[in-house]
Amino acid sequence: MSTPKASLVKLVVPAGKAAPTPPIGPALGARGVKSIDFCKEFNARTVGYVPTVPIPCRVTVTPQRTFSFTIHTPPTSWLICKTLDIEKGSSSPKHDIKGQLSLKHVYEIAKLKSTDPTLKGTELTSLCKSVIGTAKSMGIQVVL
Amino acid sequence: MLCLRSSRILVQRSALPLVANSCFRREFHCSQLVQNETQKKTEVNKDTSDGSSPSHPASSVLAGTILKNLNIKAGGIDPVAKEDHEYPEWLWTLLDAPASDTSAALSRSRKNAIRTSNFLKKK
Repeated sequence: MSTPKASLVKLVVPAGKAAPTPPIGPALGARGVKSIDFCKEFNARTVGYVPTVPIPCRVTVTPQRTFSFTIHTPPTSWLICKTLDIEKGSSSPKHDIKGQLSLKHVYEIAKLKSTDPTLKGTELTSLCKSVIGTAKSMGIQVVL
Repeated sequence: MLCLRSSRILVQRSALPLVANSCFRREFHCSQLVQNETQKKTEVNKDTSDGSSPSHPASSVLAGTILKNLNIKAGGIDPVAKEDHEYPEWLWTLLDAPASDTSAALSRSRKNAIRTSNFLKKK
């Protein structure tokens, strides 16, 4: 029997509210990880966040069924929706504009994103451009 | 212009070698200070006469506006918008179309040409 490689599970979990119920339970259980353990550790790590903020996390499961995970910043689209009090982005971005985002908002969002472990090396200018790109794809107009 | 001034002073001073060098230096220093001050004043005047920073019109978000829900740390407060000039200069250039000679502008015009020709070929 060949040893399986470490597998990666991507989850988006509300901060402080991880529970063994689906979607976390089956996703981790299928890889032999006790979801209760994960939930306890996740909730402990996300104590510093406002509750129910969606936190993407990447769980690496080794063949020995031990796991480790990293925590990332909330999705940019979610941040934009929250700032503008919008439920969802637009279904036809260029034709149906849902709201307006200021460059100052973009700057603050990019500053938040710069704390993300995967985005550590990127410059703030590039991060701002990414945020503008996300906003455009949601049908949000970016203004001065 | 400054060189001429200094050379003029030098010419004057050479007649009185015993007059302390410190006097000459002090005078030169003062004149430079005055020149710097007048330069600063003209710069400040330039700024205020425009109403805002010369490079961009005023932002739609006034300083002091609370940027809602952008706080994700427990017990923290939402960030507050700062004055326009407190943000880095490059921020205001992000929405500008790329300058016409850059590769970004050229590729954009090329893509648009392809899109229009595809549209025309459609029906």
